[in-house]
Amino acid sequence: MKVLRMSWEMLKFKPGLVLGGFLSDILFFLQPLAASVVVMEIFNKLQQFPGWQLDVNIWILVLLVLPLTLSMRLIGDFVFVFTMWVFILMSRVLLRKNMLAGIFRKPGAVALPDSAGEAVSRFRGDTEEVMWFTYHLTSFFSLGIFTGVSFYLMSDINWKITVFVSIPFLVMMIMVFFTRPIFTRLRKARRHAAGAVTRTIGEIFRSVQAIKVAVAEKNVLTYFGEINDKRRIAEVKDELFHQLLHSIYRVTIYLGIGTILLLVGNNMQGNLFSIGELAFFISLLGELGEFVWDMGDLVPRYIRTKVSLERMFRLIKGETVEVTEFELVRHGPIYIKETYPSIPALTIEKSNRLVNFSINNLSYTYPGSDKGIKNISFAVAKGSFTVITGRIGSGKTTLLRALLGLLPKDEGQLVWNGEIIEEPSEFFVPPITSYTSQVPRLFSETVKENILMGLPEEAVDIDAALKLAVIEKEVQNFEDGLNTIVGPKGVKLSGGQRQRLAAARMFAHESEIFIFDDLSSALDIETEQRLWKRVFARSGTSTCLAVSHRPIALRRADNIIVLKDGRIEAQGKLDDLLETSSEMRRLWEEKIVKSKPEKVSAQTD
Amino acid sequence: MKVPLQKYWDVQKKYLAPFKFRVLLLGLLLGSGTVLLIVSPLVVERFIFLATNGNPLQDPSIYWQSQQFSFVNIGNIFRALLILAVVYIILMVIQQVITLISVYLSQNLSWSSTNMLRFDLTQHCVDLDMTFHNEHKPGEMIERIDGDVNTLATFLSDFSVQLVTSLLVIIGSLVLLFTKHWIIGLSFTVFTALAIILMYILRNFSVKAWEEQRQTSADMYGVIEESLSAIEDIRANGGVRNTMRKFYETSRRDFKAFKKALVRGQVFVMAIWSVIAIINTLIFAPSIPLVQRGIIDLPTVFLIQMFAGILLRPIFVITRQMHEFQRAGASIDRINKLFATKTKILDSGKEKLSSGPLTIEFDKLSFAYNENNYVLKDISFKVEAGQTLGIVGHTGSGKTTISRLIFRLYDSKLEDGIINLNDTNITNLSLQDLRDKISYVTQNVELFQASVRDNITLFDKRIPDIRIESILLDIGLGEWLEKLPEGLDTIISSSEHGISAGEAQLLALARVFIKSPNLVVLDEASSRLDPATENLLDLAIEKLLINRTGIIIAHRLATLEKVNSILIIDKGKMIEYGKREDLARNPQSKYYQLLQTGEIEEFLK
Repeated sequence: MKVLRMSWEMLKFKPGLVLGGFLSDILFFLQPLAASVVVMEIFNKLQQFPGWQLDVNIWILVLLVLPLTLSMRLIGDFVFVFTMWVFILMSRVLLRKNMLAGIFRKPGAVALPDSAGEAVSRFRGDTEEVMWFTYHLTSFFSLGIFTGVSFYLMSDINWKITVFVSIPFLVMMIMVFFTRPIFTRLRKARRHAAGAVTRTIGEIFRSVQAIKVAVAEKNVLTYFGEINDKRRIAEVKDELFHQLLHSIYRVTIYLGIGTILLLVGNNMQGNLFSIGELAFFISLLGELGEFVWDMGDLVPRYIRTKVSLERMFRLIKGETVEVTEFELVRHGPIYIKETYPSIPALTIEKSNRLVNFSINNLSYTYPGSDKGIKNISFAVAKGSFTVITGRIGSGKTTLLRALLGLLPKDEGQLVWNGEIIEEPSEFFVPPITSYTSQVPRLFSETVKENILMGLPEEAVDIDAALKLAVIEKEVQNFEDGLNTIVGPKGVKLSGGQRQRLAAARMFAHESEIFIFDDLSSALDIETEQRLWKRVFARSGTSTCLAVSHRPIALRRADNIIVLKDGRIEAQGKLDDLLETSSEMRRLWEEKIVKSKPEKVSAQTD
Repeated sequence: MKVPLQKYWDVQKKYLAPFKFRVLLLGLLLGSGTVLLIVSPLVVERFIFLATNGNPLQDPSIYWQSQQFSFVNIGNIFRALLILAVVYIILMVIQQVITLISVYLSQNLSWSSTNMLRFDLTQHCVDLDMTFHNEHKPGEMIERIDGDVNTLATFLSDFSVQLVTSLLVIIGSLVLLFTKHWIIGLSFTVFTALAIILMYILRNFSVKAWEEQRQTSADMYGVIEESLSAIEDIRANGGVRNTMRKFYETSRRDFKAFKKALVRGQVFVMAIWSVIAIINTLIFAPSIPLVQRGIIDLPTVFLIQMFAGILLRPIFVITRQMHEFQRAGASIDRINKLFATKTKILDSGKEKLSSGPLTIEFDKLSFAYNENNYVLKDISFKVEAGQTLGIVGHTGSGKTTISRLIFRLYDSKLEDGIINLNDTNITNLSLQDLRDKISYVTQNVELFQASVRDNITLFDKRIPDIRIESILLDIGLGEWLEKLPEGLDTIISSSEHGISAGEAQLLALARVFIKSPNLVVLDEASSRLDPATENLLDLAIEKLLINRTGIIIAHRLATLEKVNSILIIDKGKMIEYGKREDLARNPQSKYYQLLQTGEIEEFLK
């Protein structure tokens, strides 16, 4: 992790603001120096000790010059808000944007190393850490200027001070250098513990209904309490260790000051050192001590930032796609002032219209297990209806995910109109394919926004999509119709409504192939049949690939793919399969077949 | 917006009371630190007094001589100086030790108390009814429970102690200044009083702006969390740009709110700095005439100067605390708002259910989620103890609502009919008892990133492994369990190994078997399973229902083959209700037709 180079990239994001912040910092840091000089001058005047050779009235110094030095700090502080702070806020947006965009470049099903709730802690705490480090990097230089001038002024009075101020600084650098591993370990543990807390809160509120019905409130809260306690220990450890170093450092400074006092005091006795100079020394040493600590503190900060950057990078790092950590700090628009350009309607090139699509030898194995799919090959013709079926855990969903690029395939080819698709996740999106996952996620927006997903309204036939998904009547009866807000993840809808709204979302994105993963699992038979009929009524124009066990779908299928343990067990039309494949027979719902006449076929609704 | 101080006190009282001893100890430590702070300048003053006691030597050329001299001839004064310097160093070392211990104490205190608050808040929110959870995203809850409480960290640890010791420092310093000269004492007192009044007036200046910022950032993290939990849907449906658009929109609002709060906070900082400008002038202005008239000597002026510095520190601390106070105020308001949200499900019933299977009865029950938008109308049925009822209907017909009402996830209005369990109105039962005796499996399953064991027992540690294993075997997950690398200890995580939706559903079902309830409600509990697995599960459910009352909502007629009675509902109204055997024999019944055709459509039109 190239922390410094990444921070440099951050600084280059808004150089003007950084420069402004840097200059305001210099004003800010020079203030105590200027004030100390003036105070020394006042003491000298009071003591009638030779100071500046200019004859400035003591009252002017006290009432005018001294307050003026303070306004330096005021101006510095004020400018800081409008420069460095704005830079920090903007850069955090940039970091978050790059993280979010990076996550969405990865295969969708394995994008997160942990849960969504945990990832939020990386968007929040870790970006904050990185930005403060970046700022402190600039303050290293403004502090350096302050320290340099201070050293010069002090050594002008007594060179020994330079030595004594350097000792604590050196002690600290050595301390920090040798304790780096401890810092790293404590910091990692701390961030990890914090992530566990946010993740658990997210999980609790996602499963709140399950918790209620299982009367597991107490147990879940106990678990939450344990996780909180682990975090407390991690946080306190990290903080305490930091403070321990700080204290050791302070002690060395005081040893320095004590010794200086002794040296200086001896000189004062001989009146070689004025009270003004002593005041100058003591006030400056106090400030300098803090500032030098800040500089030395950069090393622990560096370590913490490294930990944070690694955590952030982990979100966007792909196993298949080559991404460097610099992707995190890549410059780009952040739309803080201007609005995001509107999303254009979908258009498809003629050459991309489906003629034939074939899957050759597709394989994917979940890392660390032998689960997955192996050597899957089949073809999808235009206007055809393909059904994938199999027992739970047989790899149906995995197959769809690998095909869509939501999982990085281990091997195999996806051939669209004779051309091999190298980047399936970029290619298999509307208007090529649309997809409804097994447990579709909706957003806490209106019905319309959920369907459009940002597409221009005039380019989408919402009514047709709703009708196709057999949800048009219910939407009409909703309180605000299309403008009804569906609640987080669509909780205000029933399970079946959610699934059909997700289907409507899919249909709204007119695509060459519609891909359904067990679309009808939450639907009653009647609604499901109506949905299939409406979909089949479009056959010839639309091509479908579906995971299903339903007789209506299996009967109508042009090709059934029977999966078992991740491999194709059999492939063909239903009647043939019922004769040749025992697995197909097991999956076939005999009980219903007996009492059900063959009456479902493609017919208009 | 003026915030009454009462609320601050309430929060502190509640969350610091359990840690009284630690707060006291912390106060003691910080108090002794204060004494050290006031004593150490006196040591320095004494030092300077001794050091300047000799005759002034004006000629700098003697500097080197005197220095050599001082090292050769250690006189009495030097010994005194040495002692003072050593005393100074020792005092400072003690101070560092005190600081270290106080950091440990206050950090622990801060995390213990905020964790307690996090716990209470989570508990409160989990207990809220579903209408609350339908409105709030998990990401938002993370920000409200973790983020808002984080800003209370200092407030809930050493805030009061710091405030008190700061006041002590101020009083101590002022008393000391009075002993030097009343004019100096008086001017400092007036100034300090003014400074504190000014800060009190400004204390709420940015509360509202920070409160807004907290909300905008909760919104932003809400969008991030929601998007990250829907990665597959977004990717495969080309929604990435739309997601980025939503991210930018919320980020822009957060950026603006943050900047506004910062600028307002800056006004506060400017006030502090003007105070400091005055204090610096105050040191010298009154002392110039006093020194010139010989009333006070220069070491005293030096002392006053040091005390001016010391006075700044508590004022700084107070202002910083005021700033924290403002942000804390905003967070307390938001937290109180959450606490003020009361669940609509009143748990006032005291009656308990007898053991054994339950009788359940719906008596003319109607229900509306929103005012007058009834989703159930006049539903009446009765299931005798040990009997089973099957409910059939379209999606959105109100089936799921019936099961939610049994569980009191929602309550119907008083005049809208009643639900009886063993002839007792469910609102007269204690909620704990009610939910303990009923099990409910929904079609939607959310898992925790925790061990398989914890996911099944929902963190109930009393359940032995052997029981969990036998249940998993019963419901057909035996083979799956064997394949897990660490058995029941295997952590279920989103990415590491694929757990299919069907397997997740079975895991959720296992939760019911653990509980041993008297009434079982299955809401499409097997919807994501393939027929082969479903058949296996039917046997397990049959076993489960022995000597238990059951309500089964299903789309498969096979699942309903064993129930005692059937209820068909449509659009919230009862269409048919009767004994299954009677209905199956009666050619006029809708259930009969359903069995014949396998379709509900014909007669529901």
